[in-house]
Amino acid sequence: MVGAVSTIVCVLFVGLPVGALLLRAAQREGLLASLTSDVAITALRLSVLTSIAAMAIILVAGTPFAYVLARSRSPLVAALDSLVELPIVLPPVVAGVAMLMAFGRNGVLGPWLESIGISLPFTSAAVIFAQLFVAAPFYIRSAKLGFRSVLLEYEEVSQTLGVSPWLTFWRLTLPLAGPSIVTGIALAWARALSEFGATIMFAGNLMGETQTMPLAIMTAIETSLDLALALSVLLLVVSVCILAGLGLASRRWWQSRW
Amino acid sequence: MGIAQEANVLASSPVPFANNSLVVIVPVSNPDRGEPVRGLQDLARDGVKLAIAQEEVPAGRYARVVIDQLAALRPAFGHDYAERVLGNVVSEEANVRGVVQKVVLNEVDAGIVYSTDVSGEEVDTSVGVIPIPPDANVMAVYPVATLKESEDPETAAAFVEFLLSDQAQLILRKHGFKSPEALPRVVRTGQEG
Repeated sequence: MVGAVSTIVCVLFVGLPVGALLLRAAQREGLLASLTSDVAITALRLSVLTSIAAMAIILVAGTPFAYVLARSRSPLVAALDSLVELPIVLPPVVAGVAMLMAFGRNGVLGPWLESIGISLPFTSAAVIFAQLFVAAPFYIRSAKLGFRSVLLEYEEVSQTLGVSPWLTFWRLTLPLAGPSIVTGIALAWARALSEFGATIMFAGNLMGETQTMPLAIMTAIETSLDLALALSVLLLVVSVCILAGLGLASRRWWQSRW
Repeated sequence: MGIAQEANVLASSPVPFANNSLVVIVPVSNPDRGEPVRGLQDLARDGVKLAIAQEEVPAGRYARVVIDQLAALRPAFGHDYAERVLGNVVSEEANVRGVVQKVVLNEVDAGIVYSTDVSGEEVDTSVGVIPIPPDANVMAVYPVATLKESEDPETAAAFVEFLLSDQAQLILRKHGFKSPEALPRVVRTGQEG
């Protein structure tokens, strides 16, 4: 009974605004024209490409780190643990200012970057940086919890039976932590796709260069609510497709491994 | 205001109570950096980073008009002045304050904003102002009108009148606005309208 009521409340609370958005967008004439407009296609391409790049970096750089966080007992690592989650509570605009302070031309690393001919602000690379900064904690946190749920004894048994540490990680730890890892990927990817505040602060807003979907939506909202709604629906659909695809792919992956 | 007028929600005809115009702002010079932007012609120089507001907001539209007018009125700036300046735009900010922030943070070499968008404190500490001559500038006009739906039409009308008074005009001027050339009288349409 309680479960049913809770389900209805949750579904309505999330579903109603989303449903209303879709309905309103569908009722507008020229929805298709908006969806296939230059602004929409360019922004969507940039959003998808930058978020894929960000996710690739997060996976490669974040997974070993998450494992260290899960296994290490050193107080230093425990301190790092809370530091890593800081971007989750930081307002994104502040995150953007912080990135300028670090990588901007007057930032901590700015003069050095400039000396080797790199200027990050206002580039697509800056968009990826912003997404990395805000999205990585979601993945690292989730992956860490996943690794921690795998008993250390399993790994020890596997290794005493002569399986190398690398193969143990690949064949035992990773699959067992799998659901948490996929959750982490989904959370981080969704966060990267929806990233706005840090991006406009650190990367600016220029079509084809730094204007991702959320920025295009904010730009469009100044003149045309309809175009903004159409872009929102597009972002929504693409995000749902990515998340659903992710869920499907991971299920296949496990079934094929077990 | 045009949309409000067409929607027929105004109780009085709109009257302008303040004007505003655009200026170029630059970060206070940084000795480590190359040649700073000193004048309007420098906006077209290679490698200059310029921030303007997006075309969808008035400040962004006017910035583009000013660039076009400078190109048309100042042949000495070069025949491709407008293209070069627009080519130097690294960010089209969602609002004018975004432009100011980028200049204050010294991440761009120049920005085009309303004179009212930079606070006195910013001018004192971190921003230099390069005026745009009136012939190439764009005047933004701020109109005011009372609404039919107003719950207190008398107070609304009194506020409009106040905005047009010398006292209010003095306050507006203190914050960077200009008074309209001639302040028209408030024209009130009948309550039944």
